[in-house]
Amino acid sequence: MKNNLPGAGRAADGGSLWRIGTSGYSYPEWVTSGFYPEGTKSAEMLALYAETFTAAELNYTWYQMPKAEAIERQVARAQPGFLFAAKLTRTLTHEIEPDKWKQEATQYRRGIAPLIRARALLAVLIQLPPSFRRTEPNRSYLAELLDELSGLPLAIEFRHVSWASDRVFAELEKRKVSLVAVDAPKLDWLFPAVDAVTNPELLYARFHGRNARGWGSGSMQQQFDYDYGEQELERWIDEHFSRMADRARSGALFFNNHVRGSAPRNALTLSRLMRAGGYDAI
Amino acid sequence: MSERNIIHINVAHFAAAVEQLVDGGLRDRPVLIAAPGRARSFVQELSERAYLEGARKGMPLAIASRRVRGSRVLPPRPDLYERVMSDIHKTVGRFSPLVERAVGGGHIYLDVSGTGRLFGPPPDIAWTIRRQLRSEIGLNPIWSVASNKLVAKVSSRMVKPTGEYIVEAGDERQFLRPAPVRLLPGFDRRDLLRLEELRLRRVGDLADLNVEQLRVLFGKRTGRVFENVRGIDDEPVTPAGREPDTVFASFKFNGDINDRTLIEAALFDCVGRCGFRLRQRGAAAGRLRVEVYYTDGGSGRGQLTLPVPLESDELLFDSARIVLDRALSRRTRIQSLRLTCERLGPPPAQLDLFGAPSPPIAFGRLENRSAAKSTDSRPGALIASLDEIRNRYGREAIDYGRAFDLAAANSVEYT
Repeated sequence: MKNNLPGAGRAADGGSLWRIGTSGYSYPEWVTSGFYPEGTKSAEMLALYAETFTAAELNYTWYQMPKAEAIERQVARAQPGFLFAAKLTRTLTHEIEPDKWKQEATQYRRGIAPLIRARALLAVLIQLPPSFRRTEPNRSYLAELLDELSGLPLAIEFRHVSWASDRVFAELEKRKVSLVAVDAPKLDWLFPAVDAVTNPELLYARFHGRNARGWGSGSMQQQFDYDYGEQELERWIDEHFSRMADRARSGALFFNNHVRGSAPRNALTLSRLMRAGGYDAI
Repeated sequence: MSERNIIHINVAHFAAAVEQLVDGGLRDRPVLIAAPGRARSFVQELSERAYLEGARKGMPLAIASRRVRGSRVLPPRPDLYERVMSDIHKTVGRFSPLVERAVGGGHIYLDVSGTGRLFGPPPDIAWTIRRQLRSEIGLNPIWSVASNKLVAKVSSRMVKPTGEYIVEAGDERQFLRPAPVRLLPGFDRRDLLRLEELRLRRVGDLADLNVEQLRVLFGKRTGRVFENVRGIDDEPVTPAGREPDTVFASFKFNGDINDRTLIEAALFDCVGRCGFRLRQRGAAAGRLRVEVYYTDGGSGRGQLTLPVPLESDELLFDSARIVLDRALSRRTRIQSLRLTCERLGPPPAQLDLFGAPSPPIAFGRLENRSAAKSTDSRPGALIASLDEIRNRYGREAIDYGRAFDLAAANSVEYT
């Protein structure tokens, strides 16, 4: 299935455009699950993925600082118009060193510059850990971090419930930073499903799966091992998306439940359901 | 070969890092690891700070100490480093049974192909290993992920002394192009000087040469270089105990030497011992490797794939001499050498029922070495007789004349 990619953010008729994709695209188990044809090598996956989806999150930029030359080559392998949401590197979110982080932020900007030049950057995803609670030092740090990254399209995902506050949302709205709407297990400490739209230019949602037991396991393979049923996704559209879509002009929705190939399967289901509901989803 | 996911874990300046771990007071000091009490002692390992201040591995300690003010010189403690490596091995072994300790301390390769369902994507495994090594042992390794050992190693070298690197499958060649040639394994000092003279400084410069041009530079190593500069490497991650079957022998001199005659005599001794073991096993060697160890801590290596598997001492020695020439790339004195016979297999089928007649032998000394040489790759009657005597009376019961030259030079032998 080839995509007709009308460009970032807007449908050809000027209506809202909703890009749907997955968190990462290079998983050998997606060959076993049938999303990629048998025998597909890792180097072939982006091109195949881009035949089905129009955006992807880049996971590896969390593990290592992006390198401009490598990003440039990656952009060249994708179709024109394909968009990437690049995760912010862990040294700025999970392993912050007070005397180094500003330098890291500058390095990060340099690393993703090819995405900006190619107009292929959907957003920088700032995924904060559950341990990053809403304390005074963390609030200060976050404010400074957003300053350092200003000018970039930013989406921020909180994992701790302490950040679920109108004051936080108001600040994000002021800065035009997208608050990531998450679908995840209902755990007391976890940031809840909040239908706040802080940046009308980009509604950003992530589906982690609802495997509550897996979230306590310490294993990613268990944490994100979840397969959404069609009814669950329909209900999500009705109860959450429909409320947010009216307040946003475009958006991106990513499935992070990569285990067993559930993410691309569920992404395609959501795409179909949204189109059936009159939303322009690609 | 199906796609692989290889993780390289590297604790930079390993011995020094371990010493600094054991003695926290050393953390902010430059550290040099060198054997004490010798007139000529060389730096075997050094901390990052000592490196930044101008010391290098293999540098005479006297010079290194002058360059690095306030350095602490420590004797090497191989047992300690081995214990720490074992701990590292245990940690990484939680993620795959395919763990290989690379030559030189502080390096480990891990093949995590196909473990995604259990442990998640390879970068996550590598990141987790690093986290565990930091919290459990206190070391902060570099980690890299690539589709083969070569690219993983080069990417680790790129970020040394700390950091991480992920090279996506299919990106190996482009990743390597801008890398300095010195980061690519397989080049010795002589190669690098020559490449510098020719202004071939990046891997891409070599990748742009055609096969004939590479041959001029590298001769019989062309094939390997051709693959390396393209990021092609199918060497498996080989766990201990599953190494390819080899027979080897080493020779350590009592002091340092650069007398070619004695070096060859030592090589011949190694050949004799390897040949004996090969024939006892009914095997022949398909490849020879010679490693020499210089007094300054450096080493040289050479290898040769044999057109026909060999088990005869004489023919093995003829080939080993060629390999020795490759290994001896410097005029520095050597302390020891090692011969490894690899790719063992059955000896070639008998080609000629009527081999060359054997010369007379006497206990103690083989007077006419050239007469023992046969054009047949099989050992011949002479060596069969030697083997029979050795099998009955022990290996030392009879030897070639060269062995007596070595003894006369007061050389010490070990295996």
